[in-house]
Amino acid sequence: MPTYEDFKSQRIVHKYIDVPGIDEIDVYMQHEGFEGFKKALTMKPEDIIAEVKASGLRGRGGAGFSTGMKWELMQKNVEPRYVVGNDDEGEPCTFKDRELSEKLPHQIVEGIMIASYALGAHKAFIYVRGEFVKGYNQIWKAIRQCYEKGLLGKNILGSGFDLDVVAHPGAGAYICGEETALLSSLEGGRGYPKMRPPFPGQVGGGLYRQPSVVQNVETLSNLPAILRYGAAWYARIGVPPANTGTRIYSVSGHVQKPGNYELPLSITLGELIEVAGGLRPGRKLKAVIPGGASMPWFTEQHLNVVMSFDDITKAGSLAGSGSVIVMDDTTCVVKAALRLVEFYKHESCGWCTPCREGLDWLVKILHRIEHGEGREGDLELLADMGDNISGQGTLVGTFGTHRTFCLLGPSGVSPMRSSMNLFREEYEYHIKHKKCMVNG
Amino acid sequence: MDLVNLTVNGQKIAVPRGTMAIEAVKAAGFDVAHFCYHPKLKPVGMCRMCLAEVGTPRLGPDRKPVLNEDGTPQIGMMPQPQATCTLPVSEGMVILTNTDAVKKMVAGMVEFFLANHPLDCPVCDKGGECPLQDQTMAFGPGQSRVGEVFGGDVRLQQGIWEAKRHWEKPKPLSELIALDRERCIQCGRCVRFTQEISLDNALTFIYRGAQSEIDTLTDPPVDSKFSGNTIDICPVGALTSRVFRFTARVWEVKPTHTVCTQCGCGCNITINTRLDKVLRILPRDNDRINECWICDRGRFNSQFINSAARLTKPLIKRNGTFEAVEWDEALAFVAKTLTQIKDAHGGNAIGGLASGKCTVEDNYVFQKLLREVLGSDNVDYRPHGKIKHRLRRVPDFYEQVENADVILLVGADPLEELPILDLRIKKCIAQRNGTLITVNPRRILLDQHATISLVHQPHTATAVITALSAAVNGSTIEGLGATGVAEDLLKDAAQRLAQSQRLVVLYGEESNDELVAALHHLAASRDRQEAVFGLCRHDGNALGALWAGAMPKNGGLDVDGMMRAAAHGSLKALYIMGQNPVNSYPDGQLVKEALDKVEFLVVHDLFLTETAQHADVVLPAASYAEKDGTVLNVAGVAQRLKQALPPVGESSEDWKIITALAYFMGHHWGYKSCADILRELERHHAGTSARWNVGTLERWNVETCQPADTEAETYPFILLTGAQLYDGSVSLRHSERLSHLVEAPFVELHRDDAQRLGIARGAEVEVTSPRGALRLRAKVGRKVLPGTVFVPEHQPGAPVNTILDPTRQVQRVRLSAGRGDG
Repeated sequence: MPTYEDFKSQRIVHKYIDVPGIDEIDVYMQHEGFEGFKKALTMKPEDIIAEVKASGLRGRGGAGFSTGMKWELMQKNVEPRYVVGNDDEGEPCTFKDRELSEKLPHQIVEGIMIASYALGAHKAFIYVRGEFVKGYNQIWKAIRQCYEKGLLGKNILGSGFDLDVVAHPGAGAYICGEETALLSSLEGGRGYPKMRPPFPGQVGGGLYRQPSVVQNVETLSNLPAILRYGAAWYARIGVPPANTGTRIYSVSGHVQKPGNYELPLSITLGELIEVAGGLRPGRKLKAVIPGGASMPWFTEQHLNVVMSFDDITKAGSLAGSGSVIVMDDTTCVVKAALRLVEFYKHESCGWCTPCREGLDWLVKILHRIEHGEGREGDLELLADMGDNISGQGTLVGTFGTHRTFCLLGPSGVSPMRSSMNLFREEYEYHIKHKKCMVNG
Repeated sequence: MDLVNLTVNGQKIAVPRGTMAIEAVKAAGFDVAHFCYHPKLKPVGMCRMCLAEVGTPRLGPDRKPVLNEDGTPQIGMMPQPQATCTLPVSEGMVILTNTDAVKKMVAGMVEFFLANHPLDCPVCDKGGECPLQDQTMAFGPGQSRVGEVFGGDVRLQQGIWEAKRHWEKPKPLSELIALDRERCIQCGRCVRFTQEISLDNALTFIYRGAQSEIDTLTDPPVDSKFSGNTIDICPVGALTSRVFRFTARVWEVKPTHTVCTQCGCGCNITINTRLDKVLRILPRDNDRINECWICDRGRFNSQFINSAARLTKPLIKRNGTFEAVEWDEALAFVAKTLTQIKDAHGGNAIGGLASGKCTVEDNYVFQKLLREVLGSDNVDYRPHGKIKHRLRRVPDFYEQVENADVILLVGADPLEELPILDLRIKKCIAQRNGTLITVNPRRILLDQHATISLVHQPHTATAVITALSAAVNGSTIEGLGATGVAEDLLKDAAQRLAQSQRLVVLYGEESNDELVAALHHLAASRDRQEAVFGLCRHDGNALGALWAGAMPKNGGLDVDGMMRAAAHGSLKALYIMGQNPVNSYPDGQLVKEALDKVEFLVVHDLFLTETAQHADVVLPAASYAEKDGTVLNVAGVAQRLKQALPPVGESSEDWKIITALAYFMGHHWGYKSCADILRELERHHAGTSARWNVGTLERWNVETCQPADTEAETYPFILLTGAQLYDGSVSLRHSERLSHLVEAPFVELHRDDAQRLGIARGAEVEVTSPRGALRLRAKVGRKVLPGTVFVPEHQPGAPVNTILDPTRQVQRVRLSAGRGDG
């Protein structure tokens, strides 16, 4: 039975999280703080990009895109360019960025400094979820302390490199965690996603139409260590070559010790549940949602799946934001699906029709099934309406052939579709008996 | 042209590179369902109706297409269906819009739209011209699987899991527009119109997701002069006109294609009538002029045409009161009196004011009446003599404005004067990356979009332009101090002007000769291709009146001369067609004296205007909707008016009235239609090098002396006047809905001055000149410079011309706080 103690020595991002006062710059600097950035200043920007690419680091926000590749693809012949830290963590049951913002704000700022130096940006933003009041204040405190130490501003540490960092609070919309909607919101507009192409890294697609890189704050927090110890060291952790390093898994639901666990990407689902204290005594595992609320569900038979980006995809789901929702046999899947779809309906920005209207009706139909008003034919209706939002293609992973503008709509279909595929008999029981199969 | 070859549903077609796939599909002859896409707006991919299966040729490692065994390129289909409105075409692209998969997607989308739509087509104004109706019929499923079942199971209707979204309806968005939120499908066309075309952000989305609504955050609500266009582009019945609402079903109306004459833009419109009543006015597509837009005045100022206050019978004043008489009696009386005056005092004792609001034909027969029948050369179409028009035909005027790289706008406010020109300037800025430089004595709304605004002290425009020329030439800049313009700003403007390849210069119609000469000098000093010049602010047919010869030719009096002669007593009779000089002539005192003094006054008008009240005979005339004829717009483009309804009551077209009057005086012209008149006019022009030689006009007699210092102390403010789109004109007063938007008379002053004088925002202020005083509401801001105040012309009940002294170049006033309104 593995416990978290077995893995604590392998932590990278959370290495110093237990040090008292680590959210003050002096303590942070006593614990390797800003050494990664200082190392970066001695390197050429293109060498840093090569180093990050060699480390195999992939985005920790959801899509798992190669960070080094993203940096390479950014258009660099245009001034100004921007780096934006995405701290708008809104995926249900994901809470890793919040802890990083509150406890290790300097590490985020150091990460964005390294990225800005590598990409030639002289202004960087950290877009913080509006509800993270403490995290927002902590990040501003870290920024202020960096200015006081001469780590931000003009001619940083005599290197000739200038950088200003601004933290900006969101206004409470989930969609603003999507990178183009985040940019719209940061520009002062409504949080609507933007059309791609042009991509954010290209002229016309980024912040204020300038080339920009948007990076999750956990990804940024990995950068100092990569710079300190080198890509080769980082690339040996996890499942090389494509799934390197550690990641912070937010485990929630029916486990005995829910919380954030930083573990190498080579951990299996079963081990992860054990690390999080295992199920309550006498309970049986029913379903697991890996990678955030919008991902297809796993069951018992997936306990041996390695929780890396590619292995989860191979097993039919997506690694997403790294949250793991555990449901044991006391769970009503209809109620769970309803609650999840309701979330996406509530957060739909309204830009495109299938998401705005379709999710609204999925909720209405699920609601009546859950409340004993279900009708014959409702399951076929749900499935078909789900298809009209996001068709069941196999070509693009598990999201199918979506008809929507961005992936929010398909995210909302996923819990309904996935649960109905796995537990169709529960839905039928609800409709037939007007009550729940599990809880009566 | 760079063409791209592609295949749409098996049909090969070539379209220019950069075309969006949706246009290629249409060009190939297939229908595409769409709501959010509009050719004049940027593609956004919101409604997801235009989805198609799309493939592109597979490329091998050598970046060359991989070929099938039969030599055709292998096509790799994209994994996702693509919104064709946001997809640029590429070489070899294959688009499929008629597969079963696509049909299902589109039908599913229609179902989503209708899931919350109230389906109240029987009482919806849009019914019959509704894209949602049409596309539901063409692409939708026959039945909905969700939503209430009308007349069905009561339990179903009550179950909240079944309910459609319900809103209070309709919600008045503004004086002019009502919003039905239940019908709205949130395609955002209206919001995007205000963001991309009118650039006034008058509409916005509020709330989120399924609860999103359209709303306005401006004060007054929907603060836009173009808001009516959102009704046209709304693909459902969500936005409706509060003027047209519930007056007719759209298939019952009679459309007449004609031209708006309410300003000089020359917008193409369609007037919808039913049972000889004007119900609504719509824009008619003409990309060379108004594209598919019109302004709100052009659209909503329609109720006056069928107003109960219209004159329907000729009136003769007897013992101080008007009596309605028959046409024969009125015409015989006018003919007799004018003949008597002509016989007693000679033809030159008679003057005629024609009008830029009437057609070419009206003006032609009017001047013919004066010249041939009455023997007078005293004829003028202009409201006052400062206006100088030049006949010039620039058919691509609006395109030149749109494609300019620099627009220099001097002494004009297109939003209030020529709204559609304002839209084109905005298009140039927003879509063609044009640069706007404005030179005005006060800030205008368009300055928000200007790169450089040179706000100068009143009456120093010529100095600013001269300084600009010097800066363009690289010589020393002189005389800038008095203008109050910063030198670095001026140099920046000069640099942009010097580099411009396609310069368009627009200036106000009251610009004096020195200013126009300075502008030509400036344009010439750039050493580039010739710049285009345009005059802002025309009456609907001012150039047509000029073309028709309604100007003095052989030493006759112009409008100013006639007013002075009438006040002096040497002009005995005045014949006014379609003008209201009591309101519009700058010297209100002189015009009253003139009209009181003149022995015989005849007026043609639609209403008993302030001028008509002074008349001895008032003849009821027809509005632009009630007549045929020709008009010339601000660019000299001739267009045809077409009669949409017969003139109300016994009113008649001006040319018919005058032709009949000539007949009563023994001249049988025999015109049967406008075409007869136009033929004669064109014959006339053929003999005189196709244009009337208008000769030199009598110069406005300006006293050039500067006001004495003592006067500057007594009247410390310089008064500026200018146009307002919603002014106190008579037609607006009789268009009930639009009349609510006419602002109460105001004076605009700088906030520093207001603070110094203790004048609060909205307080009543007395504006006093040596000529008189007006009580006006104070607007406080920073649009005017300190030391100047702005009062619009033709304000209802507060005619600024009563305090103007046109003999002075600089108008001075003093302000005193009147009673506060609180």
